[in-house]
Amino acid sequence: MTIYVRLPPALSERIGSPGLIAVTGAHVIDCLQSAVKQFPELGKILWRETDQLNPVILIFLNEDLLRASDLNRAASDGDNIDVIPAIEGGESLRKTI
Amino acid sequence: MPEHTQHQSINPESIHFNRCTVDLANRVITQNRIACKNLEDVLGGFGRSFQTLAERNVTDAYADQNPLILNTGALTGSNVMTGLRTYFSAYSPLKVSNAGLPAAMWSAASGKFGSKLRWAGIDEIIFEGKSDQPVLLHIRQTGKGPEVSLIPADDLPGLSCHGKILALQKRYDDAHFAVIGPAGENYEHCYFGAVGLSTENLLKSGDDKCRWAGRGGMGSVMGSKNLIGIIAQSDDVKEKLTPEIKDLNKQIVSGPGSRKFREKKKGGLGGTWANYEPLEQFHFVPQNNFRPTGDGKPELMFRDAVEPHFAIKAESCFKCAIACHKNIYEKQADGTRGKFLAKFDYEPLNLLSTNLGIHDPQQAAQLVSACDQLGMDSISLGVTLSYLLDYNQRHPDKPIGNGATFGDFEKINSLIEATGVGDMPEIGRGVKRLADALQETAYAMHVKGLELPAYLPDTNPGYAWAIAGGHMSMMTYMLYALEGNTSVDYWTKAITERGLYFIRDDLIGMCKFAMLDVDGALLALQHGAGLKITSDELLAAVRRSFIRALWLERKQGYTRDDYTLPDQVFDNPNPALKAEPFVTREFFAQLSERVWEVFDQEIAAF
Repeated sequence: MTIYVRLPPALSERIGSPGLIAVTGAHVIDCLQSAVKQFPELGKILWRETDQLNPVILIFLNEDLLRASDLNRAASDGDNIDVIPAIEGGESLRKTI
Repeated sequence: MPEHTQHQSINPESIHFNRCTVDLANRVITQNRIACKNLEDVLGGFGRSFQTLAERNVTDAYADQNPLILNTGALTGSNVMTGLRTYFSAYSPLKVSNAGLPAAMWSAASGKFGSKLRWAGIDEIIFEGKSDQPVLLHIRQTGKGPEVSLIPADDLPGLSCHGKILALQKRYDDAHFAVIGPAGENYEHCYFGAVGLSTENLLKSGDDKCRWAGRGGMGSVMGSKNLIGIIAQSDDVKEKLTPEIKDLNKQIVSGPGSRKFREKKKGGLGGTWANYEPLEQFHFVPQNNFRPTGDGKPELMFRDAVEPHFAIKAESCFKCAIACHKNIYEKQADGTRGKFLAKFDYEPLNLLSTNLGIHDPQQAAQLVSACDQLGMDSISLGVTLSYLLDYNQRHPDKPIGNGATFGDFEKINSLIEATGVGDMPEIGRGVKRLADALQETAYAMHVKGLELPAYLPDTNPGYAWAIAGGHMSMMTYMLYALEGNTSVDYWTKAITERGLYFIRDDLIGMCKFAMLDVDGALLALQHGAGLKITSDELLAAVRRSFIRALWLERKQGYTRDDYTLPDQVFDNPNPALKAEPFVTREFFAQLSERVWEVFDQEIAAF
């Protein structure tokens, strides 16, 4: 089962990852943790304090916007999980140097 | 200078662009096919126009010597979604050094005008001198190439931008328009006149839905030349979409990059308006002249609070499915759309409502609409107004203007109307000049003479190095909310290694809302413009363009003292912000040293 964590360029270039990270996991939270395992810098943006979701980061499961309390939603093969800063700005369009 | 000339994938000199030069004083029009000198010339936009500006010596933005350059990017008019940009460049009446010299600026807009211009066969127009009477420039596609002529426009001055476009639409089929409003006509008293570009939606609906090249007073420069409008008339070019561009467009419209700007029903966040909610979590929504109080009033302008009372429709520029325009209409009794009221983008909405102490969306729509009707930059207008209201609140015994204070809708509306027709030069000349005249500069929210966008300077030391407005040319304005890092090392890298690359799309003709990554941009250039270049070459061209702009600022008298933030940030941090007041004078001095260590070397190489 493969699920895709998708990041906008501003984030993927910041953490040095591709825009599409293939992960596995039964729940959204597992998939995010799998992505963080591959790209630890993502964790610094996702989690403001230990396990608390950064309040300016929004998580979509396909077309559904999830609340922080919904991250245990089940994920299925082929799902897209989008990690989106809720604000403009933040990072670059350049690959991390 | 960064490495750039070796191993070039293309020979710029083998690529040409069509330039039209219009000598307005002598009514002489010439057209030339110009060989590109470098990759910036090939890519276009401000990367090309700033090279022309660098050759000029201009001490007054309204002098004959200041050219107004209108151009496009390599992807303007292509099949790549959002490839619609038109750029206006000149020395700005608004952005000035402390030495008093005007700085080079550009401003960009979408719509369909740029595509029509390219389809008519013109890539760039340089307007020289001034006409002795109001004129229009008409560009028409013919079988023998573009035909360009000047036409008297005595009947148009005084009309709003929208009124001018509707008048021109009756005269010209298959055309799009770039016009100034009353503010640009009254350029001597209003330095932030904008240029309004027509959209398909505007021409079909008759509603006031221009796209704006607003920043830096390019409309005022146009007005100083007695140039009222430009007509680009051509057939639409309908090329079949290639599989590569189809895939790219799909990525643009359904990928995570544009999600922010898409409609909620389509899995988006609802446009830039949606900034209100996350920013308010930190009390970062500008309120009462960039001084949030934490009283919760910004919530009254959240989309969820506004939506029950209005009909909101997401609309778009030509062939763009992102549909970032969030247009507000009256809601009729049966729930259907009534009269169009205004477009709610984050910047104009905030700076003409919450930041003026206005918390009624109906009033906000009226103020946004008034600003558009008169053809002003909503950021410069809003920030100068908020300064005036702040001043009056601090000096109830000697108020200026009409004595308006925060929340005084009627008086604020009167100030906007007066400014747009040139009757309020104190406001029309921008916040730097107003604050300098009143000798109260600490809370004048500008950097380098250009008013700040709706993000607090308390959270963004990167503003000082933005070259054409704080949220369009330095992508550091919300870093603090996103990552919360306050180290000098982090911010140095954010400015010198990452934030500056935000200007890439100001060369290539695409809208920033497409949010393509580097690989996507390279694919777009390859399949949309036939340019196969490497990422290193693209990034080097973008960086050179940025450094050239800093070099140009120096040429116009900018010194390190110009690169700073409003004193209030350093001296009077706002306790209502849920943030560490990290931008201290010590922090900024250290950051400045580190940033200039990087940029100075590159500037010296020019």
